[in-house]
Amino acid sequence: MRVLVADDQPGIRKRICLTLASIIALEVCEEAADGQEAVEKAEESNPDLIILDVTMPVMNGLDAARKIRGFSPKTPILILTMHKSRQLMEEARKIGVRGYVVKAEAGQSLSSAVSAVMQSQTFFPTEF
Amino acid sequence: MSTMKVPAAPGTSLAPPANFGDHDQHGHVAQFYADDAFLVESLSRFIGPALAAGDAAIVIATPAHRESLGRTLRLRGLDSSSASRAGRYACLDAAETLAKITVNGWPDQTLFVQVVGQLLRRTKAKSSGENERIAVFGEMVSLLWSAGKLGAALRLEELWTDLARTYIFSLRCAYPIQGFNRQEHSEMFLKICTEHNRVIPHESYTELAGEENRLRNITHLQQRAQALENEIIERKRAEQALRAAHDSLEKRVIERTLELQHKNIEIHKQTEMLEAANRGLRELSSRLLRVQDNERRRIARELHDSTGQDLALLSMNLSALQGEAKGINAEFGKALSENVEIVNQVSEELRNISYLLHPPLLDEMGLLCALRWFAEGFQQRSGIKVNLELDNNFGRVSRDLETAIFRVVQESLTNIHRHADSATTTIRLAQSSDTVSLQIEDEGRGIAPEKLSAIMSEGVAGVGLRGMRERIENFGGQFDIASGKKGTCIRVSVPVTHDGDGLLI
Repeated sequence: MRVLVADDQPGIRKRICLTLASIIALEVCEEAADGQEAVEKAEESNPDLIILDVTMPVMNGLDAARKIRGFSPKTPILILTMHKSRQLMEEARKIGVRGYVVKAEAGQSLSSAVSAVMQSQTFFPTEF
Repeated sequence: MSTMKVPAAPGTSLAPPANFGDHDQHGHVAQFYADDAFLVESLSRFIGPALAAGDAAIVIATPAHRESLGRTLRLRGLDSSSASRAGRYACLDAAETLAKITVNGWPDQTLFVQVVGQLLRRTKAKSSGENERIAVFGEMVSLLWSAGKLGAALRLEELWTDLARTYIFSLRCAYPIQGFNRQEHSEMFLKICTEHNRVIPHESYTELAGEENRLRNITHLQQRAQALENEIIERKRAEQALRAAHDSLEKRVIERTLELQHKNIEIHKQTEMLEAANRGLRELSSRLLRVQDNERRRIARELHDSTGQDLALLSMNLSALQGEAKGINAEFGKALSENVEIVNQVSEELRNISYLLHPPLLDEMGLLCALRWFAEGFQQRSGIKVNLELDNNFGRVSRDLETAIFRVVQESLTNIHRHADSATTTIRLAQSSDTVSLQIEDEGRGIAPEKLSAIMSEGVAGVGLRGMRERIENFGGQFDIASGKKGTCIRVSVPVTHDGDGLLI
């Protein structure tokens, strides 16, 4: 399984890749440091799952998600963000994102979120 | 026309001509009069006897005087028409004759001799009297005088005098005394009198009977002249004093005006300095607010995006360790759980601080999202219901304006929570092609007018309501607040202009 992880913090990207490796059969974990790079790599490599941070330089995660939905509407996208915000989550849901995980809770909920979206389900927190 | 009594001749030097008909005397006489009736009566006594004696006569007078004279002569049984037909009497219009002897308003000697000399010769030739005498009455000089042509009048008198050296005739010139009613006429009056052999005073003197009366009259006239002379002197003095006072006043007015102008310039300068200082203060306040906003934004970002991310990573790493530690060492696993808990608490606190410093997602998602987030949190914290009436088509405006509007809403809701005692509040945000407008209203107890005035004028710059107003005025916007017993309403409107990418200030 091939996953694209976009986050401007290398440590976070590495941690996510490690976490994913422990929960799914990970073949490739490609990394992008900003939204623009994420869009380009998503188009090139057509990954099975895309995990996007929101606050990133050059292009933010929501704008990147919109563009990716344009050329790859079925690829599941999971937002992994520092923002604990219902408004942001609703906005992401409108774009067609399948899951929303707050970074502070990623240790506990990232596995569940990845599993859900890979099974064509959604993962959105109910409380903020 | 009134008739008049002509006094009997006293035969003394004080008396006017004993008989006005003494035209046989060769002479040039000036007669002054106040009333036309007196003149015509006098004239009839001058011309009438000449015509009666078969002598020649010439009258050059105004139409009114000519007509009156004809009537008077007829009443005395004299037929001027037959004398006229005989060619020894000529009665001419003064204005017409004057036009014939003047060039550009000035009496011409050649024309005068030609016109008047020929007339004298012609009428005299027809005279049937024993002495070939001729009586002449003229008003052309009087016409010139009345027209204000004083020099021309005097010149014409000279021409008559010159003509009298060639021809023998008795000439009488009449002047209305009213024509000499000013002090400056005095010199010319004397010249006219000098130009004549004799002068007949006007009727107020001529009518007096008896030498005693005339002497008394002369004395009275002398007294009046003296009194008038003194009055003139006093009046001139008064005029001089008045002029001096006027000049002095004028000088004081000029001095005072200059003084006021200097003061005005000074006040103007001070006002400009004050305005410049105020502008400087406003700019400083505006810059301070901007610097404060930017600094808050920077710290919030640093806490949220950098430290917060590190804490998130730490949390994820600890969670990973937690999984591996399970089943190996229970105590170690428990300690790890506690650490995860602590890290999460620190993250939460850090996020709260960050959000207070700068609203999350304002930069990424704009004002509507940030306001919804803040309203939701405020409602939870305060228990005050927040009604949001936000224009869903509200686009992006500049980052600074979004921050300013957010801060106004934030500050207003904080005030409502602290002071208004209102169960609800409504926030309206709308955007037209050239204006962004915001309204925040509550149903609380309101602010007393004097307190509101004090807050707006005396409050600390950059803080509270005054701070809100300053923020909005920095964008050229308007900030109004209305408060009463039914609550308070803040209205904000800010002009905006479009560019290709959206709205800009």
